[in-house]
Amino acid sequence: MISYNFFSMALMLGTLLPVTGFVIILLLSFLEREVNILEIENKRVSLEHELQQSQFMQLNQQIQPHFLFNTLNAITSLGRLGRLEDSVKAVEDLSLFLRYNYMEKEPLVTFEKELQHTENYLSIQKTRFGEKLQTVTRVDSKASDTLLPPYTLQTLVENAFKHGLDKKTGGKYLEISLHRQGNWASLIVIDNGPELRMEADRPSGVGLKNLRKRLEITFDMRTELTIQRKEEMTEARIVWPYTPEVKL
Amino acid sequence: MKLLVVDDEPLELEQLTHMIKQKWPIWEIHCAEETSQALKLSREQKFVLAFIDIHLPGISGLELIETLKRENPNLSFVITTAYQNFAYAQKSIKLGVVDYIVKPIIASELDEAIKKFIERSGYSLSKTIVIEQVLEVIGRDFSQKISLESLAETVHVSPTYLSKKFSEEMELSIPSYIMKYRIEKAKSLLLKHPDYSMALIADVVGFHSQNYFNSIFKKYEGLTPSKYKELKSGRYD
Repeated sequence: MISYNFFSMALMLGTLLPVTGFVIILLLSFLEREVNILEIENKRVSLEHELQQSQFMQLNQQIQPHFLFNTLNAITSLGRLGRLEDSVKAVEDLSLFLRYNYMEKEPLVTFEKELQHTENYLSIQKTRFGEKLQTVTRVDSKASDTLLPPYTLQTLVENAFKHGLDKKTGGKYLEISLHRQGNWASLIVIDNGPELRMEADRPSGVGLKNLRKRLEITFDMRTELTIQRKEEMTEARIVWPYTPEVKL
Repeated sequence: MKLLVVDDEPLELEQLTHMIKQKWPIWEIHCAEETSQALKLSREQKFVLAFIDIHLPGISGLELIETLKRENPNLSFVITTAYQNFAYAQKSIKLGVVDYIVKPIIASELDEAIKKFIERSGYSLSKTIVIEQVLEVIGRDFSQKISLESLAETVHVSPTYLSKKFSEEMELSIPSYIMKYRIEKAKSLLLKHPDYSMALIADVVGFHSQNYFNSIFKKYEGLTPSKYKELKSGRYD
C-alpha cells in the first residue's frame, strides 16, 4: 500500500511539474524575443552609423555654387573674347573636376588622385585670377604613396580660398606640401590671406568639422586637424596614420 | 561718356569691356582690379556709370559704392555678382543701384541693365529718334560705304542738319563715329576669327584698302591690327 504522504507528494508533483514546464517554456520564448530585439537594435545602430558615414562623404561632395557660377562666367568670357583654346581647356578642367565629384568613392583614395582633383580646381582658379595667383606643390617621395580620405586636400584648399585668398588684395599665394614622419603622414596647406578675423571663424566651419569627423571615423588612431597663423600666412595641417597602398 | 568697371578678376574686366564696346563703341571704359584703384580713378575721371563686383577683397563692393556715391552723387551703379543673395539685393536697392547682374553675364541681361541706366539717367547715346535711326543704319551697313547723303536721305533730313545734330548729341562727328564703330568690329573679328586674313577683316568692316585699315587702326589703338591680335590671343596664363 502506498502511504498517504507519498500519494500527496506524487499528486503535487503531478500538478506542479507541467505548470513549471509551461512557465519555463513561456519564459524561454520571451527571452528569445528579447535577444532578437537586441540583435535588431544592434543592426539598426550599425546601419545608422553607415548612413552617417555616407552622409559625411556626400556633404563634402557639394560644389560651392559661387565657384561653379564664377567658372561658367570665366568660360563665357574666354568664348566672347575669342580665346578658343583657353575656353576648351577650362571646360576640360571643369569636366574632370565634376567627374571626380560624381564618382563612387572608396573610404580611402591615393594622394595622387586627390592632388589631381585639386589641380583641376587650381587650374580653373588660375584662369580667373591670372598671374595674381601663384601655387607651389611639394610632395615628400617617402609619403607620396599614402592613402587618405577623399576630399581631404580639396577641403583644405577650398577653405584657403574661401576664408583667405578671396579676401586678399594683390598677389595670392598657395602652397601644398605632403610630409612623412615615421608612421605619420601630414598634409599642409598655406595661404597668404589676411589675418583671421575671429578664432572661431575658421576651425568651426562645416567643411572642417566634417573633415575632422571623417578622419576620426576612417582611422581608429590619433588624427589631427589644426589651423594657425604663421609669419603672415595661415597654415592648415592634418596628420593621420601613414597608410601606403597595398599593391597586389 | 565714361564708365568704371571694378572686379578682382582681370578676365571679367576684359569680358565686360568687350561686351559694352560692342554695343556702345564710343563709351570710354576704365577698369580697376582693386578698390583703392577704383577710388583713385573716380577722383581723376568724371564717371557716369560704374559696374561693381559685390565680392571684392578688402572692403566689400557695397561699401565701395557708398564711398563712391559720397564723392560723386551723380554716379549710377550696376552690381555684378556670382551670389544670388537676397540680403545683398535688398541692400543694393537701398543704395539706389540701377540693376543687379548675376554671373555668368548673360548678354540680354547686361543690355537690359544699360537700358535701365539710360532711361533713368537720361544719359543716352542718342537723344532723338533721328539719331537713333542713324546709329541703327550704321550698325547694319558698316561693311559698305556709308555717306552722309545716304544717311540723311534714310532718315528724311538734310545732310547739314544731320551732321550738326549728330555732333551735338554724340559729341563727335559722323565719320569719326563710323570709324570707331568699324575699329571695334575689327577688334572683335581679329579675336573671334584668327584664321581670317587682314585683307578680309579690313573688307568686312568696310575699309577699302588694307593699308588704310592698318593706319586707322594704329591711330585709334596705338598698335597695328596684327600686333593687337598677337597680344590678345595669347594664352591667358
